[in-house]
Amino acid sequence: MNKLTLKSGGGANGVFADGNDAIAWAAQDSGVGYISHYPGSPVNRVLDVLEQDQDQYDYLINHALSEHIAALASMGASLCGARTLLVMKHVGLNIAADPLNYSAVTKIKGGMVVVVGTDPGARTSTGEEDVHWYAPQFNLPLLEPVDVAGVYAAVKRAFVISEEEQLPVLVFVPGRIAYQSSSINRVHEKHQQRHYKFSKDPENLINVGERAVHNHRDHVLRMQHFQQQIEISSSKYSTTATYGVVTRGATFSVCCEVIESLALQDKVALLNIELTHPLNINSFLDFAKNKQEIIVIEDQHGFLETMIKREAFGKVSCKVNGKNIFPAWGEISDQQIREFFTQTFDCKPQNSALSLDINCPERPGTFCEGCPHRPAFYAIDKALAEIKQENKSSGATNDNDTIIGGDIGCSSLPPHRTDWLLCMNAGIGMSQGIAQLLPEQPLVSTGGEGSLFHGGLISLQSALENNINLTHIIFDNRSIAMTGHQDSPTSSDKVDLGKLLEGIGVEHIFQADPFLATEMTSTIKKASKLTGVKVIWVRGDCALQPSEESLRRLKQRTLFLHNEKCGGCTLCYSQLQCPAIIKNKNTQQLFIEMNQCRRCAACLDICPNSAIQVNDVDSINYENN
Amino acid sequence: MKIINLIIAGIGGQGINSLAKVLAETCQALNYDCQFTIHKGGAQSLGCVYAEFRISKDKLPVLGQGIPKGQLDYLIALDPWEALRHAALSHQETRLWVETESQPFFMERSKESKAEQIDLPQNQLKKTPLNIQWRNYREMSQQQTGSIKMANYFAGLDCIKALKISDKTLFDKLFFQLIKKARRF
Repeated sequence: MNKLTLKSGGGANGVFADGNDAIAWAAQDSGVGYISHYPGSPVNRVLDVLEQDQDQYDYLINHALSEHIAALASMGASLCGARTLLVMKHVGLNIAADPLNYSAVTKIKGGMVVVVGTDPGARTSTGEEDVHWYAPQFNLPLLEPVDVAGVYAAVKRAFVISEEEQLPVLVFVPGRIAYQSSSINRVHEKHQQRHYKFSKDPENLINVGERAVHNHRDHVLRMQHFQQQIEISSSKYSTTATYGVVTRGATFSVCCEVIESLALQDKVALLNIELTHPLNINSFLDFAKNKQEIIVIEDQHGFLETMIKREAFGKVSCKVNGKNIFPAWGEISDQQIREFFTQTFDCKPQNSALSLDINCPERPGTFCEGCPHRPAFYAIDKALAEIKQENKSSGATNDNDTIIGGDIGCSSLPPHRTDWLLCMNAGIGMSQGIAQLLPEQPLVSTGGEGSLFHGGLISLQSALENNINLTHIIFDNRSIAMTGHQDSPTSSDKVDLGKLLEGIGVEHIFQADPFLATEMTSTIKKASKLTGVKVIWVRGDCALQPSEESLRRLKQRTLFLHNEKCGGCTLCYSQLQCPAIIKNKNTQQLFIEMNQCRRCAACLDICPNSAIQVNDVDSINYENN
Repeated sequence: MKIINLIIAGIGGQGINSLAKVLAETCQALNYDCQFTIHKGGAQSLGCVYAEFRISKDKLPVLGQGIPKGQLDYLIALDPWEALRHAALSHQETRLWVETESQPFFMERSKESKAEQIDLPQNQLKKTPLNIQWRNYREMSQQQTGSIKMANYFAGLDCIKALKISDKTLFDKLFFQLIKKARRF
């Protein structure tokens, strides 16, 4: 049996890297030949690094439009003999799950590494789903590095394991390691150029009937063999202590810092397990021999604790704790671990923290200045309120609220104008059920063009097939903005979205300029009066990816808010909520902070008192159309 | 072993990420061992962003990603709310450099706002026993460079002052190299 320890800690003489760099560099240094991905935090920068260096290496990149496609493309490339890297965020694994369920039975040829950015604490995601349970579901090996240097080592090791075992290998990198930076020692290795070839292999690739059962059996047996052959773990501190701590991933380093700061090195033994699936229990059984009690400290739902209890049942006599003490939600913090050890060992830690009486509210991000989503949502709110009022005036008995179906991405940012924020295409999807049940209630669904191409087109087609009365608003900012401005199909002129919508059978297609909110309001009202599926295609570039026209107006356009004309309605300040419109603390009057203003002039359109003056007002009706 | 714990805090769009990278490279070039973690939300702009640094002249031991309570040595904040957010990590000797002007928060704009009930961060900070140097980084940047966008550079100068790094030329060189590469306008 191989007992391996993944090296971590690069020292001061290495190269500075964060978790994203480490993933990319490990792939490059492993001779990766094919990379496919769908962008998502916290591993959104991996492809930036790989693309930036592409001319120095011999690999191809597939910027797939969904994780499902990315996974299949990666499997195809691996079957041709290429080492492949597949990158996605945790929720992307839900989308890739279908092909990954079958990836093992294909007996891939080139090493295939699946890097998944997980997000305990939901720092950069709509949820903190625990995707560990996919490892036993797919029945694939799972590596969980503890720091940035560990990420580099784990990805390299994963390529080797994958190729040896003909199994894709999962590597999970949580947000706090993906965004951590430290020095790592990079080792460039020379790899022989591979000659890619697809060989017909019906035994493994036509997976149906008896063959499917045979291949499943073969996969299970291969994994059982692998489980017995390899373990990747390391232990620290006392070998004689009767109290044991078991960690995986990011909690390892937090535990080390706490244990050392409380001087508990002689009182505890620590076992960190990096290959958490399939779990070779031998290290744990050795570790548990002289223990009276063991605590498993891990983020989320206690995956490692469950695997340990499953494998060690009846083989250890000590008590094993975990999620009965630490929560299954959020990141396990330094403070929680410190309090636990302080109580368990009755420590009296030197606490030098000041006790301060402070009140600081949460500060989530919001739309940038000049973002097209801001005035678009202003227009949506206004249109729905007016539709509701008109319905009321015409004697409609339904007095329910208006509904805005929400997607994820930048359009979901605070002030959260939509009624739900769950997953990709939840806007167009959930709205269909509501629209069918509550046809009288004013409703629009929303979503970005990234989501549309991810799965939204199918949802739209489904609405058409079912003849659902739905107004869907597509925010086309020509960029996958939230995850770092990756290109979307509309970033170039290759795709004509209007023709595409027409081609799938959408009869009512409207275009709208989000910076002309009054017109957009009228368009939404007009669309809502029609029956069937209506699409409003809102075209406004991301403020951080400005077009030539945006740059021109940034240089040439000036705006001024005339306080003597301002009627104090505060629509621009409290409804539009433009960050560049500021309230003077002393006079309480509003003014435009030109250092922040992106000159989109959305405020000009909504001001009912003509208090905002724009110098090149003549250009406004023609741009963005 | 002396470990210096430092936080640079601000909001999205102020260049915290860039400053953190430059500071880390400066430390590394001067043979410090250094690790840092960037914390940011999903938004491109205006949400809170901060970088936690652990720095030592010796090789760092295994450390968690966050600075434990009571162990923050230096805090450089480009917004007083963001200084307030991390103030609870301070100890008696902690030194803070804090921007005087706060940026729009949006909570004050919503109908259900309870912003009026919360004291201004400047007032809250002044009531603490913390050693604070108030800075107007935006104003310094506006006056010296003609734009507020370089406020992070002036905050960076306070970072190297805190770390007692005398080689400002190296910091300048690395900072302006990165600015040149930056895609944002």
